[in-house]
Amino acid sequence: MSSAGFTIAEGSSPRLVVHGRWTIGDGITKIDKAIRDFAATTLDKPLAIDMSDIEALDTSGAMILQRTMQACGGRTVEGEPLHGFEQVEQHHKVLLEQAASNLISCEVHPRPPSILVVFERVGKATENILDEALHILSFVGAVMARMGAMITHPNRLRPTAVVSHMETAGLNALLIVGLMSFLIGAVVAFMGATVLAEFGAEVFAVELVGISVLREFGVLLTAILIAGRSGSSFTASIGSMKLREEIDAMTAMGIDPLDALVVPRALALLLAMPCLAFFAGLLGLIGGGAVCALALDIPPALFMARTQEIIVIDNFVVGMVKAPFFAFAIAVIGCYHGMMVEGSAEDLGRRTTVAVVQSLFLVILTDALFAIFFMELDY
Amino acid sequence: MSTQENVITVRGVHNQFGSHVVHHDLDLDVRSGEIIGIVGGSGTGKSVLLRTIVGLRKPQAGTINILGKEIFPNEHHDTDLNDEIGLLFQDGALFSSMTVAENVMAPLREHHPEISDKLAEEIAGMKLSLSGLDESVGMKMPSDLSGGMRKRVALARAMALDPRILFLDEPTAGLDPIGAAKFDELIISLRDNLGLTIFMITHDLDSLYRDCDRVAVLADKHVVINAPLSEVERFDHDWIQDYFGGPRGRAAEGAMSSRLEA
Repeated sequence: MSSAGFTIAEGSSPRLVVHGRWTIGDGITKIDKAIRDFAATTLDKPLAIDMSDIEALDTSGAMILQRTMQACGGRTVEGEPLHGFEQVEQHHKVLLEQAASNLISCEVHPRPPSILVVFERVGKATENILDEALHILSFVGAVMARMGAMITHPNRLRPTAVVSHMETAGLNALLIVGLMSFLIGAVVAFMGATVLAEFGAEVFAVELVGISVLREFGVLLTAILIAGRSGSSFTASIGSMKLREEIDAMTAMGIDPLDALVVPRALALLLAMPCLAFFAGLLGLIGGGAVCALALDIPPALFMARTQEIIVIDNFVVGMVKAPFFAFAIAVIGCYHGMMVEGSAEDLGRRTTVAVVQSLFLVILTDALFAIFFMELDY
Repeated sequence: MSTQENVITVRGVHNQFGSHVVHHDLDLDVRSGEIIGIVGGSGTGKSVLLRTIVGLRKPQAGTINILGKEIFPNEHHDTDLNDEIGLLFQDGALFSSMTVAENVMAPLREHHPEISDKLAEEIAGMKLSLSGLDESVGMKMPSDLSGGMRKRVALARAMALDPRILFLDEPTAGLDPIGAAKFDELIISLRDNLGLTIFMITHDLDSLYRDCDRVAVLADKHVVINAPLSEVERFDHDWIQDYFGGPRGRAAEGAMSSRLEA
């Protein structure tokens, strides 16, 4: 057994003597360049290939031999694919014939021309963004319409689905949301107290914790966590249903996918998010209180008294009002991208990422708009 | 190479999922250069058998040999058969993130990293052409192809390394009769021209009658008979009689014998 090789016998016309095992596993990939170079020097001269010493041949080896033969003078005569080959064994003939009729090089990627690609991509991306914004808006409208229609047709509502999504998206998130809020409350108290201590105003850490956690951090961080946790899972689950044609099957049966998949998820988040935000606010206060008691010498009784006295209920209301808006944005974006998945598993992955990024963006944008709104109201 | 040489030897294989026994004491021989068809009712473990033979699933007991190499039990985990066998999954299992050409080139690049782009493209082009596709599909994504084309691309990928054994899981399922007939012809021509051994799970009676040299029937948790079709048809077993004696079996047989007479 020896690996593939060839020698060039000089004579009146070029003659290639091949030997060894001409198979993909035995070195034809290594001699490919040499044989290409040889073919380049013998263009358009009649070539003969002596196959008497060849030990094995596979389709790839046969392809290289035929390619060389056709690049050189020995252009295949119609109906004579073995023209130019000498001393070919019977079972190699079939391979060479097969190779002759299937000699094509395939294009791997579409090759667009030059620098124009950059402009094309910029243009396409811009168009896509505008397109998608319109699509999302129309999807929001459709979901709102379906939810509105449920008031007049309450039998369309699927309470089991709503409760089940509330469990997975809400109840099961309690631990992580609570832990995160507790830590945020603690960090705010600690960092605030360190700075305030320089002015001898350590006790204002209570106000700092109360206002920031109830008004912003509790609900915002809950929304961010839920966008990563539930928004992505909405996209992934609806998207894989789309890939397996489950959604088409539903439509064919007369079940509206918006009723069956989107509305229950949106309702579930709408109901679960305020609860989570409330829980987050509570745990944030406890976290802040714990740090105050343990590290800042503000006893729990004082912490509670100051909180009740100074933190007006408005702060809590401002925080809670935002929760359903965040919930709706996360649920609709997650479901929208799930419904838009097309073709392949890769698109599903891309859509899931896009859903999380977009819902985070929308949550923060909404929060900023609310901040301006409440500022104007002096609330 | 004698045509009677066994390329796959399966002895006493036992497969079990929980308490559900799929295979018990299953023996199977596949000879070099033959097309063997595996038939059996739904849930008799045809795909499990294929996955077990190629080493994707470890059986609870038994021995499996492919081309003289031990697949199971294999204490040293040193058996590398990846370039000797090609596998065609039921829905193609093409890599969805790669173009068709990249899919076919994937095993080439994996096993021969030194391969030049040009050669890989040429080999991929030839395999696609051998599978009955033209070069323009090379730059398409698998999701843009029809079911029949995906199967052909998957076949081209399975043949990329010139394997000696091809495993096909329901190659003609989901194809229209014309596409299925062309696929049958393709499989036969590959065997005749490239000397492949083909292990084929199929429910397609036409494929069985046209392609297969021998047919192995899976029933009662083992291979009840592994013989040429004419013997299998006469074998005294309820399921086999229902299978080949049913209206579809008779139609396929009738079509085959009328073709032979013509």
